[in-house]
Amino acid sequence: METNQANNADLRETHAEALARAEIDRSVRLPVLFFFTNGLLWLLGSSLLAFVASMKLHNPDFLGDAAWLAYGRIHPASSNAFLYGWVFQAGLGAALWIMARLCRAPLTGIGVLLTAGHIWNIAVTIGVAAILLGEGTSFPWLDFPSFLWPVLLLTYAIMAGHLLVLFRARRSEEVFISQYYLLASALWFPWVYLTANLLLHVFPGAGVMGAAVNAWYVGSVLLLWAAPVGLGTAYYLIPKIVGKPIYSYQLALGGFWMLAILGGWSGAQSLKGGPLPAWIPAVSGTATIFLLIPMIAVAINFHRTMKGSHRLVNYSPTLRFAAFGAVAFNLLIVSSALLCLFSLGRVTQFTHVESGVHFIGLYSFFTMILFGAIYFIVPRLVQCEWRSGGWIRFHFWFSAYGSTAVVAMLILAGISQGIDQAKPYEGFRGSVEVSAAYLVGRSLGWVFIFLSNLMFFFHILLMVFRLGRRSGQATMLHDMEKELSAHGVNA
Amino acid sequence: MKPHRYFTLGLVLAFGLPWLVMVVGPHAAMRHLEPIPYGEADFESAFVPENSYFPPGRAGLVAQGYRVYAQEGCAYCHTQVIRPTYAGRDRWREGWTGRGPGWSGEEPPTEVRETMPLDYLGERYAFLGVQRIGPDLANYGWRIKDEATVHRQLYDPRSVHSWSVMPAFQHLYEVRRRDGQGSDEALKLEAKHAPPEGYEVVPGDKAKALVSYLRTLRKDYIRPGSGEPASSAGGEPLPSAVPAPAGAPGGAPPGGAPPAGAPPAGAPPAP
Repeated sequence: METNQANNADLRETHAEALARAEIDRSVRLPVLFFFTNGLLWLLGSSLLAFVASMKLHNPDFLGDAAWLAYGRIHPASSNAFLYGWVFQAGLGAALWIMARLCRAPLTGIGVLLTAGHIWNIAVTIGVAAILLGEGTSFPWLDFPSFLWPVLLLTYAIMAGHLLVLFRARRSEEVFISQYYLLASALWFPWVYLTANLLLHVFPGAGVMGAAVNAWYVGSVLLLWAAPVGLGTAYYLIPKIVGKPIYSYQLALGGFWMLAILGGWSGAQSLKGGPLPAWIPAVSGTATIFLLIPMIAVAINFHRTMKGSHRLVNYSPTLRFAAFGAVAFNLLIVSSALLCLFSLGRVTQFTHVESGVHFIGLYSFFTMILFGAIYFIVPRLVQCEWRSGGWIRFHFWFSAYGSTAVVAMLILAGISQGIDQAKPYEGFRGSVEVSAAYLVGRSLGWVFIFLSNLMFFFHILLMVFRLGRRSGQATMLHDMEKELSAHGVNA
Repeated sequence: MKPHRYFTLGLVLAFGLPWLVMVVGPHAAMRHLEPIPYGEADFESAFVPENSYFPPGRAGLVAQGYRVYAQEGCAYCHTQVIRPTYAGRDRWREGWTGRGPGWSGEEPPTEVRETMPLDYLGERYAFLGVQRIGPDLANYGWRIKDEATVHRQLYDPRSVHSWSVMPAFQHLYEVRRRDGQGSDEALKLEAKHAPPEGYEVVPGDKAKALVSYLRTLRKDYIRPGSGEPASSAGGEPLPSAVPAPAGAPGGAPPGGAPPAGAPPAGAPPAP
């Protein structure tokens, strides 16, 4: 279906338009592939670190007592490598390609962009190494030593600035919802990152407010960066593959502005009951619960757009990953909202449940949608198709199973931990012991995630070296025409 | 205005408001917290020395230890928060309270008050923490009976609690050849982690700083004007603040006479 749609569209297109699109794809090829492959390397590295960190929590002598392997170093190293290495690079790669396509403008300034990309990667490498060597700050998601943030801010501004340049050079009259989301993420993140670093490194000394700023930063990365980039990408991919416009443009706009208005208030709910003015976590919690409204808007829109085409998830790799991510977005918002309730939050606060929710946001939602985007974009850049539908199925099922296992185990471990820690006049031993078995399960989940991404990395390397299939037909998860005709359906 | 100008303006306004209200405003306000002097009522109702401040200063290698606490990522497993009753039952956990059964084994379990912003006065960044993979450390200072046990726990956690999942921080310690009788500081280790014959394990500078910092972890000082009974502070007198001749701090603290002296002399951690 994907190829048929594309073929029909091609027929209607004039020769000039096809040439213009080829020029656009050529212009973004190098930077987009650079971000994807480097991002995937970081994803592999960070999942390995996360696996070791996970092992340490039920088997503390795993790999010995080396200083750099201690949980307090390897856990922040893995989360920062994952965030700045994979999440930001993959998101920027997809954003650049989608923006160039929708603006119908070729990318300029490739040299500057690639230089910034290289510096970004070097800075992340230094940062992760510094955490492992014991120079981390222990500010969650801002663990890099303080000299690195200006470098990351500047290079991010250059990379995201290219999105704005593309938008200004746009040759199409229409502005799509994906562009709204991508532009918003490009504008908000430098602001968020600058604020958090200024307040924590340049104007420190506010004690508990430092922790609150940090919690707000974590919430903002999730809701004002990962959410808009993930949703913007899904808003591009889903209509493309089902070959229909978005169900309701008004609903899409409403969802976008609701997220924009509410996102910045969220974050500090993780410190409810903490030594802060109580209104700060209360306002954050309220905003988080109200996020259910944009979530419903997005969910209705995706669902109605896919109406009648749901079976395509059996064939299109892109749609399958994107649909998984879109469902996980609902899970992210619903679980975040639930944790704001005191009845539940008093048990789940300061337990593994909260890191489980972050994992839903950055992996089950964001990463899975980005995998879908990579399956869509890369063949268009390298003029060959993915080697094997079976390999893609392997990647999907191992990722889906691994990430779901990690989330489920974190939630179970966290709840059992939280229930035990709510017992008055009791010691700590129980909470360590009740959660241990689930944490073993989480380590297994990381093995699945690592294997799936190893396969994916190998697959994308073949593509980059133009060793994919030479074919005009996109690689599907299953041979669609054969299966449908077997069921008496005309494809 | 062109449509995309409205769009940019919308983005700036939507985000700018929470940015000001939730982040910049409170941060600016909280940087100017000052210690509060105890008043007459406090001297009568509790073991509060005259001319003392809330919170009292912290003595020792606080700044250096705070830095080790950050470098080793302690905050990823330990919180420093006692939540109020509506948000959890932290106030009655064994060992998290000021002097619970973990302290002497004889006293009945006591409760501790919830933490408040002034408890973290002078910290660049309060390590409230992320998760409780290990116990809360808000009042850990009370639980230290002797430093030797803390060092042994840091060096070989499983020798103190077989079920512990804490990393062994052996890199903070030094294994060296024993000289004569050996050092007083040498750790008393059991077979598995004992150094070879003729050697001993002594705390390095970082380990000493870390334990010195941990000793100062106390967030149960009596609140000025609270009329709290002394029991929650364990009945031990508060260390008196050292008056210093510096200029008067700005801003009149609530519920008390204007501060006559300077803030406590304890060095605020500044890594």
